[in-house]
Amino acid sequence: MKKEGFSVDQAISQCAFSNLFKSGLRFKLLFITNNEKHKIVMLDSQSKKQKQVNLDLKLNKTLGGEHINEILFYDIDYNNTNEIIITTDNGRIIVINLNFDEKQPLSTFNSYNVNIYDVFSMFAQKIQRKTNSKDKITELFQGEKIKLSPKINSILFPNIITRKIITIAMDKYLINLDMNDFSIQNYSDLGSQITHINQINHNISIVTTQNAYVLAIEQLLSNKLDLKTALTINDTNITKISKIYNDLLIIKENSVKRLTIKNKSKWAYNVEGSISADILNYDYDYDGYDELLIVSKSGIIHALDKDGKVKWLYNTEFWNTNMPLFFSHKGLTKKQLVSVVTFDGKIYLFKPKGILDLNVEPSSAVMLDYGFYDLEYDANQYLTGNLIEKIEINDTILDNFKLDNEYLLLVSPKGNIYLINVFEN
Amino acid sequence: MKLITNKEEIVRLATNIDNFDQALEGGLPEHSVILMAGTSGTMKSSLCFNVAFNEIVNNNANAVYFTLEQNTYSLLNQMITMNFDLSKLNLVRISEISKIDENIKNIDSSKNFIVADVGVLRKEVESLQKVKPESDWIYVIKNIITKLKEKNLCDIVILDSLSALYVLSQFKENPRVKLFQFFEFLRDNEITSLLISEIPPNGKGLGEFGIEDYLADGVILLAKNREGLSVRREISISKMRQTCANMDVFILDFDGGKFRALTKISE
Repeated sequence: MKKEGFSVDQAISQCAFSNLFKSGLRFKLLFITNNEKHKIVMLDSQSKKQKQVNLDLKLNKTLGGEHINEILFYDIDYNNTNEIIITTDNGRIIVINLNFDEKQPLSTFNSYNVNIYDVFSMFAQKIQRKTNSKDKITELFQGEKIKLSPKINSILFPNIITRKIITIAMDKYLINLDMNDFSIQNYSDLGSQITHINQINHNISIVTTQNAYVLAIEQLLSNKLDLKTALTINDTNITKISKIYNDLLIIKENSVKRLTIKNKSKWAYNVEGSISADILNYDYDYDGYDELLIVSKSGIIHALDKDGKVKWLYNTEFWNTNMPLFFSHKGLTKKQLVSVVTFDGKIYLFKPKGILDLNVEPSSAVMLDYGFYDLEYDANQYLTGNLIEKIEINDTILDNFKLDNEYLLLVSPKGNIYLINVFEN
Repeated sequence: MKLITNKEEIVRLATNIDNFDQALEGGLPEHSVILMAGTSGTMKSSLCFNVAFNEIVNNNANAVYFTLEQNTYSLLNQMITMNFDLSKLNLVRISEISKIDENIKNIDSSKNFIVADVGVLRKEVESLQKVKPESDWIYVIKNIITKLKEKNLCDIVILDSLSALYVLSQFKENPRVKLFQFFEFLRDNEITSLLISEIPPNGKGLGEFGIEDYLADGVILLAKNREGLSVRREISISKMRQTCANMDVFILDFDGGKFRALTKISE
């Protein structure tokens, strides 16, 4: 198994990965930060060469040492190039445009100037809004000093239909901004701090708030964006929301629940250990239906079908904090595999379908008279992960990403970055 | 656990506290989960180390000490000042997450005192919000135990402390179920477990949830008593399954590198 790697010479606490450019698929970008210093690493996905751009001074000056909440890659100004959009816990949004000529050969890469500029930089307390009402939101936007907590959770998501509006979540407010002048179009008070947003389809977004209400927000096709509550779920400790077909996957500390958009529970599944990684939701075994791969900090991988039934289980013996990834290689022979990377630096590559676990003793109920096991009878409980290979990296792994559908890109908190071709053995 | 035909079949681990092992019919029953409960400064860690040290030196056992807050060197220095001869042990320190497997792979077969420095391991993740640094350390602990047990390197587990484990794992919901599962895990692995439980100064139970003593196989109670200007330590057996224990309160004395349980003379 071919491993390549390099170091960015700084501790990493957070990272994001994107194919930054819509044209010229050759360049990929990794944004990493340790909350005090920020660095952009550009990877050439063909040659695997990398260039690091240290943003320490420029970003520190702008960010003022704030903690980065979220990094989003999105073409916010519609110039066919994605920008990096950063939201901070002070409620600021910073848009970074990397301006360089991709037509030049890679060898002169060093001479490129990374032109960083704020498309806008915004503090919540500086936003002015004329309103006749004297509710709390008036105080938020009119005072020079913020009257709410200075730690504002800010989450940004673009409205993919109107393409003129972006919505940001600040504290307990959803605010729609016009992208031309960033004026406030309208806002909605959701009652408690917003913790998570997920766009389900073109006009529905799911918003989770700290008091554990889940709201489906309808975004109507209008500049005057309406925020209409379509669904409210009374639940506690929701940490993430994902979707499966037209339903929701409500992820709590130790459980996953499939819920219809009309708030009807289809199934629930409990795991040991907290679920901190995103769930892989894809028809990775090509049976025509989506599967789920759920990992938790118990180290156990749970492969479920769309109905929440176990397909196979596997114990990796350490925290799984990274999202499982699916790789499909269309060479001479089509190959597919799923990867799970543990925090202690073990990479598990599995064939998508499980295999019979010979270490599990079936109960007598499924033992046939002839001494053969009835595999048709709830056979999945005897299936384990079909491990192709286990690779050990002597490093902890903070995050993992897929590069060009054949490379696993691993980022360590110590500042090391690894590239592994998962199909090469 | 297997069914015995007579009580002599019960293997016991000596506490090596003079006069106290008699009160325990020879020592702590092997593969039991024992709570070492006391307020601060009652020598809970030292007594646990004393049991492990003597088992390693006298019976070639292997012990793992999970220190969740105290630094390894602070712990070992404390034992050196108490005249434990650490050169008689193979000291192994687990202090880096990505090297846990490698550390375990390199351990020799016996006389190992393995310190899993969870306090240091925690520092590796403390700034990583994605990892949720203050949760689920119980799985790291269980995985280390499982890996050591696979190599037959884990006869005794010392966990210092249960209170710290509660903070570093999710015990608030269903603590009784989760604690039961953890104790069963230790029993299933045939490990003699010494779990240090800090009794809060004005606490009602012997642990944070008040259920620890019900679930444990045995409880050794350590206390400090002030009489005038002097303070004396006390030790007693609050509970010990498979043992007709003498439940009197003894004065705990440490002198010349040796623990003694002295009988109280009635006042």
